[in-house]
Amino acid sequence: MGTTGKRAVNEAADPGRREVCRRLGQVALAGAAAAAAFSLRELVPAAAAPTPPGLAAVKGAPEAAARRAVALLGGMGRFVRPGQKVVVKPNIGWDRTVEQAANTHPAVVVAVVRLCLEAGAGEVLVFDRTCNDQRLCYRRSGIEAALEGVADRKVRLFHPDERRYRSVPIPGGKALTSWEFYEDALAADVFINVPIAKHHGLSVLTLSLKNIMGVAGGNRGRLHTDFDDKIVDLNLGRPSDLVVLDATRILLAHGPQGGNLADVGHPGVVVAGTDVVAVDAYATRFFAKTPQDVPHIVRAAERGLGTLDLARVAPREETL
Amino acid sequence: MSPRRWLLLRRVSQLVFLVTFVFLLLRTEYRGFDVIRYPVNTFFQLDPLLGLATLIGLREAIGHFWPALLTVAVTLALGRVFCGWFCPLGATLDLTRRLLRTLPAPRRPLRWEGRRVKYYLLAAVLAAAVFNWQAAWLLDPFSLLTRGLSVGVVPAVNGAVSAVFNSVYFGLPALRPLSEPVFDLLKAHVLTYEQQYFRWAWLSLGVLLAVLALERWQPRFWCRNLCPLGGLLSLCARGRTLSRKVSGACTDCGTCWGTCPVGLIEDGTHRRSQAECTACMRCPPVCPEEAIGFAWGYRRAEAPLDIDRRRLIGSVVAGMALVPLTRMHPARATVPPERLRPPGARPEADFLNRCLRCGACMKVCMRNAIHPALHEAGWEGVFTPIMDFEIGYCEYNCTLCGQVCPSEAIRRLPLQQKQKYVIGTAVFDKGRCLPWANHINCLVCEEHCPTGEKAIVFEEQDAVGRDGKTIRVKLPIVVPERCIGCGICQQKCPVEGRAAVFVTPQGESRAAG
Repeated sequence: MGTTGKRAVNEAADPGRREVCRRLGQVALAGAAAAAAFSLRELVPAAAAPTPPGLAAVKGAPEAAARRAVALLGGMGRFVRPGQKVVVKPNIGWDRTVEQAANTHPAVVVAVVRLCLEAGAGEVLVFDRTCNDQRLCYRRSGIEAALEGVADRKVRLFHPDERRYRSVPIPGGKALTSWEFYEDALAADVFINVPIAKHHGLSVLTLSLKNIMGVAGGNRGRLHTDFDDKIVDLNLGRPSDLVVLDATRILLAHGPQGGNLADVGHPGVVVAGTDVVAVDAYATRFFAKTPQDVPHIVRAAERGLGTLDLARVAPREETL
Repeated sequence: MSPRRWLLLRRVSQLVFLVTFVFLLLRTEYRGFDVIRYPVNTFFQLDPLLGLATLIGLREAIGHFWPALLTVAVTLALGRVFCGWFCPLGATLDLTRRLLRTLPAPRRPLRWEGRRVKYYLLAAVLAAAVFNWQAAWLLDPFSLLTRGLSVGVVPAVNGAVSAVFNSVYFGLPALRPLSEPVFDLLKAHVLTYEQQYFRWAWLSLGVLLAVLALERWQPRFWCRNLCPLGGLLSLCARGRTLSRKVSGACTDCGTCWGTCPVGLIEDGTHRRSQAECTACMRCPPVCPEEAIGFAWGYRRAEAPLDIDRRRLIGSVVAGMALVPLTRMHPARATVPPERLRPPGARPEADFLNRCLRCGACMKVCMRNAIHPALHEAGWEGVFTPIMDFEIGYCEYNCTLCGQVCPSEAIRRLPLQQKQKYVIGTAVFDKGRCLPWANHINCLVCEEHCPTGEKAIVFEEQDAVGRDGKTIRVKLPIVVPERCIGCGICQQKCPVEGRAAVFVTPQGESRAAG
C-alpha cells in the first residue's frame, strides 16, 4: 500500500521527462503562434487593405446607402456568422408614415435584414415595443409590408409578447442595477441597432443610444427620470454589436413622433458604426449640434460606452 | 317537406344567424385596416324597436333603420318568425335551456303568466321616448346581447383562455411547442388582440346572465314576458297571413301540450292560432295525427290581445314619470367631469336619443378607451360610452368607433376632421407632475402628444434640487387651443395610481348634423 501511494504522489508532482518535453513544446508553439499573429497584425495594414473604419457615413438612396455603409465597415460578415441568431431593432415607435420621419426607413431595415441573410444568419428577428398601437405602427411605418417583400422564412417581424421580458442584472449600472429586456434581444448572438435620427423634447435627440428602449420592458415612462444615466445603463444591459443609423430623413422638431412634414429634414445619409457613442456623436451634425449639446451622449462617453473622439473611429464618408 | 325537416330548418336558421352575429361581433375590431370591412351593425338596422324609438325621440327618421321595415314586412306576412328563426338572443336562450336541462329540474316550476308585461314595457318605453328618454336601449335584445358580449363575455372568455395558455407557458414550458401555435391561431382569429378591461363590466354581463338564467324556470321567459321588441313584433303579427292551423284530425290527445317554448299550447289553447307564435315548428312533429301545420290566409280562434286598458295607461304614465326621475341628476345642471364622449359624438341631447347602448364602440376601440357609463353621464346615460384615459387613449389616426356606431350617435368623421375633433382638454395636476412637483425631468406626455404642432409644450426653468444644486427642469404646459383631448398624455403618464395630467370635457366639439 505504502509503496503504491508514494509512487502515485511522485507521478503527480514530478512529471516524467517525456511529459516535460511535451509541455514545453506546447508553450513554445503557442508563443510562436502568438508572436506570428502579433507581427502579422502589425504587418498586414502596411502591406494590404487598411483596417475597416469604425464608422461609415454614406449619402444615397436608403437601401443602397445602408448597404454601402456596412460594406465600408468590412461587410456584414464581420458581425454575423453563418447560423447565428440576429436581432434587428429598428425604431417603429409611432403610427406615422415614412415621409413623417418618426420611424426607421423601411428600405434601411430591409437592407440590414438582407445583409444578415447574405451573411448566412440562421434567423433574423425584427421587433420594437411601440408607443402607439403595435399594429398601427408596424403597418403605417411601412416596415411590415417591406419585410413581407423580403419573403424569407428566416426573417420574422413580430409583436413583442408581454410574457417574454426578463429582468436581468446590469453590471456597472448606475441608476438601474437591473431591468427587464426582451428575451430574444438578450439571447441574440448579434444585436443590430437600427434607429432613425430625431429631435426629442427630453433627451434633445433620439439616436442609437435611446433606441435601445424598444427592447426594454417594464414601466418605460419611469425611465424618463434620471434619463441620461438610465439610458447608459440600458445600453450596458444590451450592448449593440452594430449600429445602422437612418438619417435619410430626420425630424428636426416636435419629435419623437412629429407629424408635420415641415419638421422633416433630408440629409439622405445612413451612418453605420460599431461604437454607439461615436455614431450618435457623428449624427448630431445633421441637427447643427455637437455631441456636447446632448447630455446623454456625453454621459455615455464619460461612462466608457464609447468615444466622442471621432478621429479614433476614422470615419469614412461617401456619396453614392 | 316533413314537419321534422321544418324543425331542423328552423334550428339551422337560428344557428346560422347566431354564428353570423357572433362573427360580426368578433370582427368589430381592428383587423389591419383603417376601415372595418364587415357590415358589423347590420343586425341593429333590422331592429324595428330601435328604429321606432329613435324615430319617436328624434321626430325624424334616420336612414340607417330602413332595413327594419323589412322585418316589419316579414312579420306582417309570416308572423313572429323573427323571434323563432332569426333573433340571436332567442337562439342563445334556446341553447342555454339545453345546457340547463343537464341540471336537476327546479322543484317548483314557474307558473307565472306574464306575457302581457312585454306590451306594458313597450308602451312605457315608447312613452318615455316621446320625452327623449330612451329606455328602449336597456331592454332591446340586440343592445342587451351585444353589450353583454362585448363588455362582459368576450373579455371574460379572452381572459380565461389566455390564463390557460399562460399557465402552460409558465408552468409546463416543455409543452410550449404544442400550446403556443394553438394560442397564436386563437389570437389571430378568435381572441381580441389585447385583453380589454371595462368599467362596470359585471353589470352588462349580469343583465345578460340574468336573462339567460331565467331559462331555468320558464322557457323563453325573456321573449314571452319581457322583450319589448317581441311585443312590438307580436302586435305586427296580428295582421299576418301565415298561421298555425290545427286540422279536424286533432283528437285533443294532449301530446302537444307544453311543447311550445313561449307557452302558447296548453290544454284548451292547443287548437288556436296565436299572434305570439314564433313559428318554431316544435309542435307539428309531435302530433300523432299529423293535424298541426301552417297555412296561408288561415285564422281561427285567434287569442285576444288581452291587454288591460288601465294597466296600459298606467305603463304609459310610468314611462313618462320615469323621465323626470332620471333627470334628477347633477349631470343636468353641469357638465359632469367624467362625461368625455368618443370623437364624433353628437351634442348630448341628440346623442342620448340615438345611442343604442350597444357597446360596439367599446368593443372596437383599439386602445380600450371607451367604457360604459353607469352614473357618470347622468341616469339617462346609463351604458352610454365615455372615455377612460387612465385605462386607454384615443389613437390619433383611428376612426373605428364612428364606423361601427349603428345609429350615428358617434358620427363617422373623415380622419382629418376626427383629428380636429375635441374630446376635451388636458389639465396638469401640478401637485403630482414630476417636473412641477418634484423638479424631476420627465416629459413623457410631451413626447406622446400627437397633434404635430404639439399641444403639450415645455418651458425650461432653473430649480434648486434637494441637494442644493441648481437643476434645469423642463416643465410641461398644455396649449388648450391645440389639445384635442385624446388622452394619450394621461394614459402614458408614469405617475401611477392617478395620472398627473388628465382630460376634462372643457372645449369639447360635439359634432352636430
